[in-house]
Amino acid sequence: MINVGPTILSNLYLIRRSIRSVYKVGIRYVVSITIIGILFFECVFLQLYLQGFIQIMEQEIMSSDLKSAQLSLDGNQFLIMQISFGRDILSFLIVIISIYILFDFRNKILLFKVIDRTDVETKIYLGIQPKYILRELLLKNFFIYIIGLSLSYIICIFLNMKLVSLFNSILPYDLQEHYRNSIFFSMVFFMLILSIVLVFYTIIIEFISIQRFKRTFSLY
Amino acid sequence: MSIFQNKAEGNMKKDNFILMDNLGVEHKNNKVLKNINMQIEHGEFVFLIGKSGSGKTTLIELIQGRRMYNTGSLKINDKEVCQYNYKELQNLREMMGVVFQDTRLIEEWTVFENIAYKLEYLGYPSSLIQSKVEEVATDLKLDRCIKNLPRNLSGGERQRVNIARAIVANPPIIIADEPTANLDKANAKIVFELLKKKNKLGSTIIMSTHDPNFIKESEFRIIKLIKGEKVYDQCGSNYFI
Repeated sequence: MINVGPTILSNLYLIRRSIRSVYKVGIRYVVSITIIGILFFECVFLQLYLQGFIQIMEQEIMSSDLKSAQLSLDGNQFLIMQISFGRDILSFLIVIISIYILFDFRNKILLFKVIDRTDVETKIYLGIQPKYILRELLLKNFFIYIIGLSLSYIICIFLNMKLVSLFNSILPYDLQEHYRNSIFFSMVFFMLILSIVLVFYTIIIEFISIQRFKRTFSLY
Repeated sequence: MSIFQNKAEGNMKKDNFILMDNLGVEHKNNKVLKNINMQIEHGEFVFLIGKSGSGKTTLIELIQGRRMYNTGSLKINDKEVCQYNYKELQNLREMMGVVFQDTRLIEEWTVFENIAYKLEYLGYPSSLIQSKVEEVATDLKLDRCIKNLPRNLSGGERQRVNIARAIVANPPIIIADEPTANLDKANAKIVFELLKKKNKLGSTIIMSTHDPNFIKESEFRIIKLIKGEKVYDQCGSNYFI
């Protein structure tokens, strides 16, 4: 016998539809976080490369005569400048893109911003309970967060591992093993912090959104 | 058989299903509806006719609980609509199939998803949803565009999706606000025949229309509104005599 009203089955449909409908906003979310992850990686990489490079140069200077040391220093000064400039630019970009993501996140993903009032009213007039509609919207966002964060996490780490090998093959000096590990761990740590910040930010704003939704549509 | 049957039997009285007594609606000091008195019984097919601005849509919105009246009384199932609590109003809407004048399709969903939404919400198994949606889509000649998004549909197709969404769950009440407005003659006839079929199966139909052809062809009740007042309320095609 078929029940009238929302059932476990209808909740399963809800989950399925939510997963299916997240891809558009989800891709935007994954791309933004991945870009931040890669920029951060490059920033850390350049910083550590600079350290490693200076260390190698110091060793060279110690082991050679003053004239050849001076030549080596002159030859690499421009490279050092480029690396530090690149690092500073990337740090700046990270800050700018993080601010953009937070606003974009707020405007494109967060519940109350994405509610189409006409759609919600239509669903209510079709006989769908507002609490079911709210659950539908929250589930959709939930999947955006979960899938978006996990996917961008995996993509970032994979890409960064590839980038380390690529840079090592291009740049004049190899990055030492302990530096590579530092890059990897700082990367993981950074993404973790980013995820935690986003989750807290989301929880607070979604909570406010739910209250607003209830206030707006409780009269229907 | 309607899935609402068990609930409907409990909630609905056979007679005086909708009762209006001196019903009046004002909007910005303008009387949109004036002293409407009528009763609609369960299983009736009612045409609401009248020119644009005569109050047809307002009357339909009142029955749906979309807006409130200022004077008089409107009872559905022997209870004043303004006294319905939140849950009762939700239950009432659950039992209604609504054809919106402006279609109001969910743009990010396909035609199938739009039609299936109510069935999913009501907890139908997926195989039954599939067969019911296919059946109604075939009836309304929507089978070719079942996977399309609403933005890729013509005006007539959108309207037919709107109708399919309203009737797919076999609701006890179907409220259709100008369902044939964007349709050619052939498709309008299909829609009308489908509504007649639903009525024969027991659904109460309240349909507003401008199209005199259907009214001429049928013996259903006609209610005519002019400037918010009921001026005609009779069964049959005597209206044209």
